Amino acid sequence: MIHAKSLTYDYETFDSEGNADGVVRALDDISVDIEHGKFVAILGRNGSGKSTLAKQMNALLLPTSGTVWVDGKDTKNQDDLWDIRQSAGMVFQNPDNQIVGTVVEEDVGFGPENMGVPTEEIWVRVNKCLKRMGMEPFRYESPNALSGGQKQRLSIAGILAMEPKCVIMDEPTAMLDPGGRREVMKAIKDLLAEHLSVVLITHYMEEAVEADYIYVMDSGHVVMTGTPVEIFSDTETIKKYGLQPPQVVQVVDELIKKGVPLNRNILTTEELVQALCHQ
Amino acid sequence: MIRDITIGQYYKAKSVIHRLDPRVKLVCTLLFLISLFLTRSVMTYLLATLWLFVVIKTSKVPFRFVMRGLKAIVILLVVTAMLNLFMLKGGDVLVKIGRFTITEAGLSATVYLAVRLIYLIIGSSLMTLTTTPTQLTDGLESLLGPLKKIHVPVHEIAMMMSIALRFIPILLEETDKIMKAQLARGADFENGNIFHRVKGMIPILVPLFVSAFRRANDLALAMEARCYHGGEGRTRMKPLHYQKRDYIAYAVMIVYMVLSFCGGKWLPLHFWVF
Repeated sequence: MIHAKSLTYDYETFDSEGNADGVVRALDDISVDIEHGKFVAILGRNGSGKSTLAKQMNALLLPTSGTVWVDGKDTKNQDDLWDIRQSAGMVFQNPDNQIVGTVVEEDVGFGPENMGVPTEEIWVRVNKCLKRMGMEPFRYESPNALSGGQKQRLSIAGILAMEPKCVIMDEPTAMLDPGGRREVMKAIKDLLAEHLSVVLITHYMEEAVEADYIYVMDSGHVVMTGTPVEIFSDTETIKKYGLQPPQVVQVVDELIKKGVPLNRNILTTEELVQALCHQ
Repeated sequence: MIRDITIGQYYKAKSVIHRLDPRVKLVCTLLFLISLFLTRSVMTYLLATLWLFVVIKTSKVPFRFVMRGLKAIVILLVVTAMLNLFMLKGGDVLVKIGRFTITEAGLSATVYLAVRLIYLIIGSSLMTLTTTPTQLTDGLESLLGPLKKIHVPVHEIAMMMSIALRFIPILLEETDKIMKAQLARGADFENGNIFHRVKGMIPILVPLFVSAFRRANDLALAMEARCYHGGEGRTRMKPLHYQKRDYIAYAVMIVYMVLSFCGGKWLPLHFWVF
């Protein structure tokens, strides 16, 4: 679905007078491979380059060197720009700053309007996507009247209306309360059930537990790759990159240190309970 | 509390006037305002009164809502009326109090001016009361469409207006937050003279602007990510289509304009002021 090969991205820094005074390498020789229908999480501390990588995935930023292919199309090719953005939709962190419409249903229609979809087809898509994200009861409301979780679900509905193959989420839960976070995680599961690819950028490890594959980034490099079990069983290394392992993993870690014979592939509370009860 | 503020003054109701195409309402309001200024006979004003009465009744907007708009112009109305009443000389002197005189011409000019101003406000608030801001923006975009030929960025202006409508409540809320944050740090917005108070606004405005720019930047990215690339090749979710009722409304308006223009001339009761 999305492939990046030796992707490098530099941005210039400016002094107070607006003169370029340096170049910062935000991404350095990155190769990632996101397969169709998979749930991929990208983890990393602030400034590790994970958001920059996300913006590369739908041509909001273009590589300084290396190549990104989205659904087989090179992002450097300007002719394919709108196809790329349609097939790789993006949900951002701040729920307020990505809603354009003054009414919920109009916001969902914004993407299809831009793509030039005929009016009747827009209504079909809007109705379908509102229902898929459970936003039907709010369709005539102002977005300002929604909670954070509902706003993010609206944003996802707005992306779905463009009928993408992949949804990239750039820390969609960072500004939400635990309730809103659960709403978004449920929405992600719904997307996966419909065979869409999801790329989740986050620094909440609990959200990454259910991913098919994880990339850990630090200062512009991909430093770890693997399944959640592989990544989280190596608690020492992920701590080195400024990440906190999920709580359950920490508990398991401590228990093993105390001599409880446990398997390191336990990632969720249910699994831990199961394992302990079958001792 | 602050997030409940609605922009404009839309009054929710189910009426023919509410359902009319926003373009019809914009054009008719404009024509009505023109009719107020082009003629000056008692008959045309009676006609305008009747017209407003009928429109208010059919729109189902309560009378006091319509009158609310007048509050804003009370001072303007009183000042201009006073100036007209005492300054304009002509015709017989009606009242004389010391150095001030009220003449016939002064009195009639005052009355006409007051009526005109009041009808102007009522007429235009009827439009905003029965049309949502979104519809108004759509209507304007469509009416100003021909200006695209002379490179007026009509679509962009309409898009800016609707984004402004979306963000005004958010920025209001933010202003509230910043004010509280500054109050907590000991800022004083209530005491001192006007200059002091204006100076006190700076610590509110600077963070507000910074955040507005940040929001604008985020929104631009989000819009681009959703394939926004200007008005070209864009379709509409809610396109404007004239219905039968819209043509009827136009027809009624034309009849009104004709009556208004020659009203004074063929009606026996007319009298011209000048």
